[in-house]
This record gives sequence, C-alpha cells and structure tokens, in this order.
Amino acid sequence: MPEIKVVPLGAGQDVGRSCILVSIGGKNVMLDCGMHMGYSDDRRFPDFSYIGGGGPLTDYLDCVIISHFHLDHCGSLPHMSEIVGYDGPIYMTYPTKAIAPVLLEDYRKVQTEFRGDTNFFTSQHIKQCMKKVIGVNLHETVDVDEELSIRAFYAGHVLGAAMFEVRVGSESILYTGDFNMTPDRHLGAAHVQPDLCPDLLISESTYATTIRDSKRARERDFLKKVHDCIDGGGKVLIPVFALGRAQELCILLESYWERMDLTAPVYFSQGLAEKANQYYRLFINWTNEKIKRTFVQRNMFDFKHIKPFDMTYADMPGPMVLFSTPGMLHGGQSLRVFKRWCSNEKNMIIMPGYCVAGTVGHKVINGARSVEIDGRPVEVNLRVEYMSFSAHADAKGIMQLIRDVRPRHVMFVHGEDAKMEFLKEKVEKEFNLPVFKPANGETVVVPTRLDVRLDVPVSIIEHSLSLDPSPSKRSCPFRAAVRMDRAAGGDLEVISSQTAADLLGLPLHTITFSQTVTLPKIDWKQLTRALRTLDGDLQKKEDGLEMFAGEVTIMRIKEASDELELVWDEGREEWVDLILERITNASNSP
Amino acid sequence: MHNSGFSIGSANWTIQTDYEKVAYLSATSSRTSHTKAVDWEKLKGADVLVLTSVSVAPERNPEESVHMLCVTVVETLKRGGNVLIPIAPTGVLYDLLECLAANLDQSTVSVDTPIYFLSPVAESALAYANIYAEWLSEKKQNRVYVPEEPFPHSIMLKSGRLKSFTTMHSNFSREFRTPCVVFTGHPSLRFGDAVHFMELWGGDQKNAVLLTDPDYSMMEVLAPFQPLAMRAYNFPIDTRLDFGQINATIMRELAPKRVLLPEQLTKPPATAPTRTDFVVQHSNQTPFRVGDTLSVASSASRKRVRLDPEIAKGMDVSARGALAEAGMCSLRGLLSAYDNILELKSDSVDKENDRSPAVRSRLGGQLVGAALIEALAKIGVRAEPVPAADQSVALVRVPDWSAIVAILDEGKRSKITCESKANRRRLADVISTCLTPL
Repeated sequence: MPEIKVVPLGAGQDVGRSCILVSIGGKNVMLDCGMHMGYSDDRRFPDFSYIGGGGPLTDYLDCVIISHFHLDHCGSLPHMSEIVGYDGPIYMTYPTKAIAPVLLEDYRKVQTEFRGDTNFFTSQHIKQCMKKVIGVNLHETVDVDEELSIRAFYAGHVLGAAMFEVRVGSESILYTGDFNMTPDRHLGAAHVQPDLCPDLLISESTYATTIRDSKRARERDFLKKVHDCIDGGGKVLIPVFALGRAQELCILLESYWERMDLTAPVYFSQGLAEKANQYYRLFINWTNEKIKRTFVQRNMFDFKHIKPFDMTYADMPGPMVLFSTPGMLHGGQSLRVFKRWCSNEKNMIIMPGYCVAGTVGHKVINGARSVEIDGRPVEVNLRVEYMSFSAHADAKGIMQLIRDVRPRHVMFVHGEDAKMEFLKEKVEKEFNLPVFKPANGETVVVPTRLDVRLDVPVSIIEHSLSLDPSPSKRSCPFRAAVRMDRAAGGDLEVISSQTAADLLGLPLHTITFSQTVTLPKIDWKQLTRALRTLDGDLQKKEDGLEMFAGEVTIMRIKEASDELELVWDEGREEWVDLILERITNASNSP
Repeated sequence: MHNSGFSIGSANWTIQTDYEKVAYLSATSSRTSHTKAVDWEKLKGADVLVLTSVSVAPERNPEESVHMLCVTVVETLKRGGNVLIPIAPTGVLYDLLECLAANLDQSTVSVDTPIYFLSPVAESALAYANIYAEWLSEKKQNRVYVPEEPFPHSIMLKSGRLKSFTTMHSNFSREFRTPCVVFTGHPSLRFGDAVHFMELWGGDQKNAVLLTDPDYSMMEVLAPFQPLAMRAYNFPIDTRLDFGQINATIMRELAPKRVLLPEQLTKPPATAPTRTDFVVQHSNQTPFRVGDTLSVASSASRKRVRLDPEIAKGMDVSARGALAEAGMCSLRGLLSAYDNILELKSDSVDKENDRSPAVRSRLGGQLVGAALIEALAKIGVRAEPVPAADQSVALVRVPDWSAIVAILDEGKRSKITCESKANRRRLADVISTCLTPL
C-alpha cells in the first residue's frame, strides 16, 4: 500500500520552530522552516542534518512551503537556504513574501546587535534567500513539477497566512499553518474548499483545550483594564509583533479613544509600524470585506490617536499606552521599556499573545516577581495581564475545520502535549478518525488508498451503465477482460468479453432466462409505447419486440392470443421487474 | 485559469478531462505593459481552441501609437494648447499615465502642467490598480516587496501633478488650470465629461483631441462636432494579439487540433478588404456566428476508471491457454458513475448485504446437454434430456427445480425457463461451471 510519511523537525508536541517534513508519493516537501525563540543556541533551528541523511538539501527536497510570516514559521529559512544550502523552490503567498524579510531582518538585528551573536545569517543571506521564493495566490494550483502540485487557502491568523494543500496524484495532505476560524476587525476567517478529503490533515493546536469566551467580552475586558490603568496615572506596555495582532488592537484602541474622547497618548514602535501599515494598504485584498469595501475612501490603518514612539518618551511623566515590538519580551525595545517600567506597581503590562518558554515574557506571565535582564535581576512590581488575542483556532474551530474538509487522518502539531492529548481523544471520539501527535523526530506513517486507474473503451462503459435501470448509476454490472501484452511493454488494455473470447478461440455463450406472461388482452401498439419509455431504440419485429439490441425480447406464443414469452439475457436481470410492470400496466389501461 | 496579460484580472481558460482539452483564448496580449506576462504553457496542444478576441486595429502598432501620442501631447502643450484624451477609466490608462509622465519629464514642458483624470470611479480605478500585485508585471510586483506602490500614479497624485475628480462639476472648476491634459470618458464622445471638453476646446486650433480606443472610428466619433478647429488625432491602442502574432507564432506554438472562431476572423476586415493576411490561418477551423450552437464530436474513445484496491489486487494477468504472449484476466464488478466519477467497485461488498447480485463473468465455450446433466448430477439434482421437435435445439428438463433448459445456436446460447428466480440463478451457476469464464 502507498503511504505518506511525516516527521516533525520542530513543533512536534511543542509551540515554536515549526518545521515538518512530508514524504508523499515519492516527493519530499518541507512545511515551514521556523525558529524557536526560547533558545539562543543550536536548538533554535530545526536539525537540518536529519534531512536526507545529511546530504545536500536541494537533492532531497522538492520544495519548501512557508505558511505565514511569523518567525516561528519562517525564522530559519535564511539559515537553511544560505548557510546549510538549499537552491530549490520556496513557496509563500505574496504578502508573506513581502513581510517575511522585514521580520527576518528585525530578528537578525536583535540577535546580532543586542545579543552579540556572531554566528548568524546576514542581511545578504536574507536577500539571497528571498530571491528563491515564488509567490502564490489563493486557490491557484501551482505545479511544482509534473506530479507535485500545491494550492493555498485563506487562513486568517495574520496578513497573508495560508493553509496549503500538497497533492501528488490521488494522495494529498492539508497543512493549516496557524489559522483562525472566527473573523476579526481586520482579517477574515479561514476558508477551505469544503470536502477536500485529504489523506492527512496537519493542524496546529495552540489553543487545543481553550474554547475562548466571546470576543466582545474579551475586548471589553482589555479596554477596561487599559482605561483603569491610565486613570490611575500608570503606563501600559503592550508587547506585540509589528504585524498581525498589533493592527487588530490598534483599531480597537483607536475607536475606543475616539468614542471616550481620551487624551492620554498612545504610541507605537517607530519604523516598523509605518512600514507595516503600508503593507496592509498594498495587500488590502487579504484583509476582511469591510476594510476592502471602504479602503478607497478611508484607510483603516491611518490612525488618528496612535503616534510613533521615541525612546525618550519612556521616562516622561503621566499615563501612556505603548505598543512595542517585539512581542515576547525577548529583546529590543519591548525589553528596554519593560526594564524601566516594571518596578512601578502603577504600571501594567498586557501580553496579548502566546510566549514561548524561556522568554522573559513567558516568565512574567507565569508570575515571576523577579526576572533576569542583561544578566542582572530586576524586580517585577507592575500588574501583569495575559489576554489571548492571538488569532489561533480554538478547539471548536479545529473541530469545525475537520468537519469541513473531512480528512482520513489527523495529525496535531504546534501545541502542548497534554492539551493535544485532550483534543486527540475528542476527535477520535467524535469523528472516529485516527489522530497522531508525534514528537520531534518521530515518524508518522499514514496509509493511503491504492490508486489504480484503467482506460476503458467508452462502448464497454456505456453498455455497463445501460444494464442498471436506476438513474443514480451507482452499481452497474461491469464485465470485461484485461489483456496484458508483454510484447507491447506490459501495458494493460481493457477489452470486451467478446474480444476476449475471440482471442481464446472460444465462442461467447449467453445464458438467457425466459418467462411466460399471461395478459387479459395484447395490444401491441400500447405495449410498444409503454416499453419505448425504457428503451428508445426498441425494435419492432415480425413476431414481437426487441429491446436493448436483442438482449430482451418479447414474443407472441403462436397458439395462444393472451400469452407472451419474455426472454432476457442474464445481464438484464435488473430490468425485468420494470419491464413486467410496464407490460401489465399497458394491458390493464383502457 | 491562466494569465492572459491583457489587463488586471484577465484570463484564458482551459477545460480538461482525462483525454480532451478545450482552451479558450480570450483577449490576450503578449506586449509589455503593466500586466503579468501571458501564460501559454497550459494552452498548448488543445483538442479545441476557441478564439474570440483579436486586435481590431491590426494595421496600427500599439507601441508606435503610444509613442506618437506622447509626442503629440508634448507638442500641443508647448504650443500652449490643451489635450483631451477620451478614454476608459482602467487598463491602457495606467500605462499612458506612466509613459506620459516620463515623456513630459524629458521635454521642456513645465512640470507644473496639470494632468486631470475625471471619472465617477477615478479614485477607485487608481487605488484598485495598486492592490492587485499578483496580476502585475514582475517589475511592478517587486515594488510591493519594498514596500512601494506598484504604479507611479500614486506618487503623481501625492505630488499634485495628477488630480482626480468625479466630474467637472465638482471641485474641478476651482482647480482647473490651462494648459493641461485631461483624461476622461466616454471614448465614444456621446456622453460623459468628454463632450463638455469638446464644446469648450473645439473652437481653438491650438488644442488637440487624441483618440485611442480602437472600437470607435474617428470619423463617426467626431462627426457631430464638425466643423472642428481643434486638431484631432487617431492613435488606436489595441494590445490584443494581432493576425501576425497569431499566424506566425501562436498557432504554431499552441498547435491546437481544431480552432473555433467567429466568422469575421476568417475573412479580411471591411476596412481593409485586400489584406488577406488579416485572417486567422488554420487547417482545421470552424467559424461560428452569434447564436450558433456548435457541436464538437468527442474524439475520446476511452475513459479513465478508478479501480477498487480489492479488484486491483485480485487481478492476475498471467498467460492463459493459447495466449502465451499475452496474459489475460477477467475484470468485473459494479461500475459507479455517480457524480460523473467512474469507479469500479468490487461486487463482494454487496454480496454480503444481498442487495445486488454478484456479477458473473461472461462465459466462453459451447454447452453440451450431457455435460449439464452430469454437472447437475454431481450436486445431486436429477435432470433428463427431452426430445425436441427442432433438431437444432437440445432440451434438458430439471424436474426438481421445475425448469427446462433449451440449448440453442450450437450450444452458444442457453435459455432457462423457470418460474422461480432462485432456481434460475442456481441453474445459471451450474451452467457456468460447464464453461470457461472469460
């Protein structure tokens, strides 16, 4: 039996460093190439030496697919393509292709300038890497080679996020990347062609156990907390990624400031933000319907209340709100501002998204009252709020997706082991599907259906279809023979039974059945009319009627005037009841 | 769906089955413009190619027209005249704005010379062009990665060189300065703001009107405004494929087996009846007229059927009997054509539920009465030959099942007469044991 092999190099029972190897129909595909932000040693990158036994990647991999621009999905790409070495095609959507290099460059700066990492990819590497990238549009089937094709579907989550279907012949997988099943202020909900029926669905499961409360309530909660804090004269720090949730929260805060007529300043990290908004303008097609409809008159991303931030503002007295990058407090401006604000209990930090284990953000969320920054312990006195705004599907959303696409197998990645176990049991119970949740490096083998196709002459098919009287044509008796000519290269050829008999030098034997029908009177005209509805090509003969090219005959019996003989080929058995019914009805009607 | 390179979002289409391919070649352009390059690959080798849209200004080269247009605009402005370009609000306009700006920069015309674009959809038309990067040429596409807007018209808008208005009755009257260039509709000069500008500028020979739409003839368009002092030029810009491109390269490269095309494309155009090169040349072409229904016979004699893995596994094509060279085995089952997906299922599934009868292979060989009686005796069923009136018929009576089997046509046909359906089947089963299944 054919099979699909899947090995997660990252994101197996873990969040971060997404990288999944798939072998399907003799093709090898890498899904995502992320990095782990909790580590700064070798563990931050997937173990590329595992691939193809350490040989050149270009020879082994047929293509690399990047689902969206978050670093835990594309952060290792320049490392893989330029330092390890890969020259094959890399696919991502147009917005991802535009935004990923910006984030990579940002990440590189943090690593090399703040951390002093020297063994790292360079700007030049990023540029060279992006040259290998091919842009993909939604729903466009891209033929990677003769057999392998990929197709992108809208995934919500962030601008340009996509799910990818990978197909080789009849085998296919659907990789969700990160996705979101509920539309929000600036993005739509994930949308996959229903009934895709992939052999394997590889789904993220970040929020596998949470069924999140209503979004409205969460947003009200967020606004209330921010408002209370600035009323008390505190400063609010919201660490975000420059693109993604940041825009969602900015739209939310902007409209709240407008409505409540607030004057406290709201800032956004400079540089990246303006560039980010420019991207949103150019890829407005990837946002939701409302923004698309109004973008000519009014751009949602031109904020009135939100201004660019300068580091000198950090020590200004009075309340303020700051959206600062990066999102997990793992370096850069966020960490510097945090260091200055964290000792004052009037201040507040709101973590709007997931933090990878090992980052300062993760420690703070878990209630650490003292964290180590730049090698020195810092006291944490400010209020810490963790509110999940990151746009991942919750358990309900994942179940919904499974219901929509009807996969044959399910595999969970990008989540925590215990939470996955819960969802796994749920899916197994509700859908009765086999579910996998491999750890990193663990191979999952998914059997697929054997796909054999034969070219059958149309005449044989037509005859077979005509043998089944039911209009659905679901079970039509089919009889033929297959011939393999060794001289002609062993190709299989479908031939009719007649041809097969001729080849064997035998005559074809036909078994027929016969039945006598007694009727009150025989009206041939009426009979002909009634039976013509079953066979338009019905033939009138001297002594009766011939249907289906002689496969059913109705003959008068010489001596009797009220009896008919019905003779039919074995294959026409299914039609007999119908024919008998017509005959009886025809002779009973006036 | 495959990029056709004519405008943003324009596409050629193919409809493909396992054996046949129909390609629809609509308005297509292989010239350099703002659009993504045309994708020919998938249109190759079609059984039927439907060709509908060909340049209607085959005698004019569009690149030359654009060049002449820019030169004329510069000349007119230098003369102190105004330029009116009646045009549709999308498509060629984007390229014209870009070319014109470049040409004006190189000339001595003041950079303050305003370019107005008047259309109820002006703002949207300009904005939308910038958000479909995936439909734009590679050069334009690469700009969004910077990120910059793909078209320079947004910079022209920001700098105030290009101004867009919904109509001339809006703020336009306050901003209006001459000399200037005005892009507005409608190209037919029968409605829209273009009509007002014709009235306004028609009397002065310093001004110029530049017609670019190939669908309208200059004579007819200008007729109601005669006598016209204003200079009028015709620079038709039709980027669609012309006959030269179609006959010289496209037909050879796409190599369709058959071409369906409108009748007009099979004879020279009325405007140039002597140009016999202005026809589509293909050895197998079928012209059609509006409203015609064309039937194209299917050339496929086979269809692809998916086999149930059970059947595929059970196939044993080893050599048999006289056929040492070629193996053969029977292929039987239940064919499903539901949803037009052909699938051969194993009949064993239905046997368990007893819904559908097992499908028996066809049988080969001649049936002999004695063999049948012997086979029946083996399973303990009594049978006897009955003398028949007709010499060519052998009759066997099976009293246990109250049935009579007539063996006809030298044993190539057997007729079972029996009232019970179950007994009929049983008898047929016994007959099959006497013969060779195919």
